[in-house]
Amino acid sequence: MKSIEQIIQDAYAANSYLTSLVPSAKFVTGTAKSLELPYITLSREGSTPSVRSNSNRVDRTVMRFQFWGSHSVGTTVRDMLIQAFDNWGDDSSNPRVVMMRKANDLAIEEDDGTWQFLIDFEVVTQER
Amino acid sequence: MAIELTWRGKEFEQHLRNATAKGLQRATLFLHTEARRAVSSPNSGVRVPVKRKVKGGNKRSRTIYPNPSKPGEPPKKRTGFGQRNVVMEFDKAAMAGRVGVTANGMYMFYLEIGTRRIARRPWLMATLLKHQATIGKLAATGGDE
Repeated sequence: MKSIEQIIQDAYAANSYLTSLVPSAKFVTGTAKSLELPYITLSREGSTPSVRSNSNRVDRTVMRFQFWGSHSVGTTVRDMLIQAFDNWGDDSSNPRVVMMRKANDLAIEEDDGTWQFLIDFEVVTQER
Repeated sequence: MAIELTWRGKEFEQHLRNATAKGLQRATLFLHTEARRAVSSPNSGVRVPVKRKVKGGNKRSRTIYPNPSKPGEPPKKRTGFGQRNVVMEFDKAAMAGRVGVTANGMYMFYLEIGTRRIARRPWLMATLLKHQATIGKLAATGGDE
């Protein structure tokens, strides 16, 4: 069984437009201090089981995409991520991604001039 | 046979608005309290002596904070400035409640989401997710069973 992070990373790698902006090697989980700009990190904000049964379990997880780089690339990446993952689902994966829905997004400029774009997605998954 | 029906639509609507506002207000207040509680774990300062380099100059001691928060944990409290700047507001007309930080406490927001150089210390979103069920219940019922 794959983790949600792996499922999202596979979907990201399959999107040629996104990988042309930020290569999949620069789309990582956890911290990425050593990577050169631009890059995207993926992290899990929290998970709550919505439905529990003896066979399938449905979970709701908040996944956070954080882009660091220039404003112009960031705007495009944010729009493309929303286009790719808002209302997206994956029937073939295990757990099945029932739906991903955009929850929040914001952009801030950090002290060194780097722009951070943050997008939260709510992910509903179902165990097979 | 006659039936007399008194329509109290306006009163009912007002009652419904008041009940919803009460529930949302309590839910906002609860989140505000829990968010402040999340950043209340102390990292008390300790005064340590400083070796003076110049005769008669410089300070004799300085404050260090020996137990900082780890990445992923809520930030620890030093002076309480950040905690005091966690604020809430409730707009009854718009039926909306907000919990956040003031402009002076903006660094708490950076700690929440992290920066390129500082790993995030989630305290607001983590609190919201932790107490999601209670907040939903309070918003729906206003705390009345």
